[in-house]
Amino acid sequence: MISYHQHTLANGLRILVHEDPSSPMAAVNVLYDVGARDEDPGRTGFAHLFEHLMFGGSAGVPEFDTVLQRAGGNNNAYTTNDLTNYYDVLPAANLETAFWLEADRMNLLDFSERSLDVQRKVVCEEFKEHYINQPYGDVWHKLRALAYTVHPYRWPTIGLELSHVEQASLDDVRNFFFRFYRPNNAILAVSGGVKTGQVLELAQKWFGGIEPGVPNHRNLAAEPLQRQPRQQTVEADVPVDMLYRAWPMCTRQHADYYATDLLSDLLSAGESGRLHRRLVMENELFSDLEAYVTGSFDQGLFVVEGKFAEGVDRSEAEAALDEELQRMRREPVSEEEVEKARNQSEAYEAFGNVSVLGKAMKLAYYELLGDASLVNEEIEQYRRVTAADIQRVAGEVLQPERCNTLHYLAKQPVLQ
Amino acid sequence: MAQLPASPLMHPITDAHFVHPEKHVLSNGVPLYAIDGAADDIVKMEVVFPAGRRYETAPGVSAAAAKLMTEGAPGLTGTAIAETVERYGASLKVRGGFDYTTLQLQGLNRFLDRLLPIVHGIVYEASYPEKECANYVRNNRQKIKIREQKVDYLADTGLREALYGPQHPYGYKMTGELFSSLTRQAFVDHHRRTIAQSRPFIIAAGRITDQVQDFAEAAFGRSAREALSPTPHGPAQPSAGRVLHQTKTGSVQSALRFAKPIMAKNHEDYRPFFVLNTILGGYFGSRLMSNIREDKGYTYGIYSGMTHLDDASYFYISTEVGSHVCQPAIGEVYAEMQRLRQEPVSDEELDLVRNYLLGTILGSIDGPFRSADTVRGILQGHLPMDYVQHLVDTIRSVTPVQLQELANRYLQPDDLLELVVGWPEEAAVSGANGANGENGANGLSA
Repeated sequence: MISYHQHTLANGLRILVHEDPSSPMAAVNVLYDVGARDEDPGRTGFAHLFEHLMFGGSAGVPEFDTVLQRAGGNNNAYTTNDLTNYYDVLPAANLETAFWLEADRMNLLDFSERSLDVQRKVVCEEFKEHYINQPYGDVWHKLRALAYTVHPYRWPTIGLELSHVEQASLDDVRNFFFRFYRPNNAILAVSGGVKTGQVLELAQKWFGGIEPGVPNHRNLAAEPLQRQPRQQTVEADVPVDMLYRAWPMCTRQHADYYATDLLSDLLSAGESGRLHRRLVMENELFSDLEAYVTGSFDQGLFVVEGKFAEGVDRSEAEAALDEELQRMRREPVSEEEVEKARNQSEAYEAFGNVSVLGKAMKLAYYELLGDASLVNEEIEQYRRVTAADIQRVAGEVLQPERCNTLHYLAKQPVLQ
Repeated sequence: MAQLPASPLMHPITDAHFVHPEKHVLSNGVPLYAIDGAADDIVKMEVVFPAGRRYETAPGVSAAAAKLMTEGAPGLTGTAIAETVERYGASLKVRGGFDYTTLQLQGLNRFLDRLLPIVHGIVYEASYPEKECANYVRNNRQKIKIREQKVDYLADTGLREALYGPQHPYGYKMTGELFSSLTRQAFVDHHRRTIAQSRPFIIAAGRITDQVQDFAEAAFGRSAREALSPTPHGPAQPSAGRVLHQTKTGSVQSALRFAKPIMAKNHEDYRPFFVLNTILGGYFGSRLMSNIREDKGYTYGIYSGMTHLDDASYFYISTEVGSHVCQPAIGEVYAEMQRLRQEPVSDEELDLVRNYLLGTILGSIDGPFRSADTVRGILQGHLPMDYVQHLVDTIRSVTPVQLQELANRYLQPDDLLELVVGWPEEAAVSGANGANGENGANGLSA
């Protein structure tokens, strides 16, 4: 249970405060409602590049990191297809420093050619480190392009290609900032050894004068209903044959999200998931197999990925996998399995509520999802899921005609 | 744009109040360090056995024996163990390391007693079923093939091999062949000799109730457990060459590593060196990160640090850089070390690092789980419990002169191993281009 206080400034900035008097630290989390899905198809990877630029200096603070470190703090940020999240953790005594830094860069970023030039290179190295110079590094480029035909989820956060990042201009940076990085498009969550009154006062003092922007209304292309299975085979210099399957599923906000998430847990969470026990340990058809959901704000994906065991007949392994998945549609799961998944989500939530940063992040995330109060309803939502719900969503999601299959195969036969 | 208020006052961090764990001793002498303080009814327990690579009799045995411990016990299959653990919302993992094998159990206190038979079973009589053992070998032969495609993995393992030699417990690399040579009997022997009867230490964090202590006593406190000596091995055999290159064709990035043996954590130079390391590459604002990432854009990240093992410690610098800028990046790394040897650190930079580190320490003792990690580091480093206070004192008092002396003593280029995994020949050619005109620098070399 996370108790919190909620307030909205006149400029639209939403504020959430959680007091944790046992902690000497404070976490300040600023979430902007912009992600890779808001990008121009010819300028992909920009939201993430922009995240790097937010550390390149603002009108009143030339070096963000230096100031925060001097206050005893540290920070980081991440970008997803849906959102961009920044966070600072510092001794609670220096809380105001984080307000100063975050307000200054929300007020006016220093649009510098030099910072853009360096961060373009850094992001290109990040691109190479994680997506090119790794076996299977580009698998999500391929899988997204297969599973989405029109929605911007068809490209990953890092972007479609290096050239998009290389071509980003200072004008792009300016436009993006004034369109998305306004207080009415942001959520500020603070948690730790702080007082609610003090936080609200600081919020007014530092953010109150920042002008709102034009409200951003998303109008993204909806993905048409998939009626035919899609299939792609990639051969590359990788050591092991891999299989990826992805089915369209509901959005993160949909009531069926919880049952769909538990379906993936029953198939593969921990060591006792059905896929691991049956197809990895018992039948030895795969050396690794997992199922998970993407939890996307627009239509998401239910994914199964696995490594074929050495020397198995791939079609035999896939048939066995299909049988396990189809069994979820045919037969209800046992009450014990559902209870297991529920207990696991309870423990997961309790362990997630320990760090001050974890709590601030959760509050901001749920507020963006629709309402911060969801943060305390999560366990109940999972507890309400029944075996019948799981069977029903399995029936809807795991339809063979909506399956997107990617075979990522080793070019040369693997030698023993 | 709005005119924002004047920058706020900053408060220096002067103290970090570390609440020492409460030490209990189980009936057989096994110590239990308890850190109380969670809002929910949860606990995380780590049982740290001397049972890692240093205690094994053949390569790869300790890691396998750890991983396979949860695959069976008398009357319990691996499936039954996994299902019971997960039914109660718990997690049970055993992982092998260089010195220690750690059993980690976390979950809801109210279900601890349900897990006792399982934990007791795997600690005293893990059964290592043939089928699961064979499965482990087969799957790891496959996994190692994937890892061997990654320059960072090749560099990290290559570095330890260069420091300690291929026969040393800290130096050997696992290979497909080594995995194939593993036998079930070796796992059983290792387990009975170590986990079943050696003396661990235990750290429990969360809400510490009688249930937690009773559980520890029943699972680990009732049979004789003795200190265990490591398996004897030859001396470390460092590589003869100082500069090592491993070509991996087609790498758009190369992994760079620099390393040398360094003092143990209880050496008097360690704490000031910890500050020096922070300045060089230990945080985001470090010299290496500011120069090689934030100024040159050669990398996504570069760090330096120390790895402390029971019988050896080493200092390292680690990064992945574009292969076309490999040579200039290496040059900048040496230049940054030279700068620390030749010029004293400014008061301004040192003040920043002092504050940053004190804030980090405050964070490292915030809440039971972070504190547990700190306690573990103290125990594994054979340090006193007031070590956190000693570290705080050093951070506050270390001087630029001291740091420069340390840089001259410990950061000499001729003492450092240098290892590049990737595409060094190509790097040498296009590195020159990168230095002349930066615009072409990000082209994908094909």
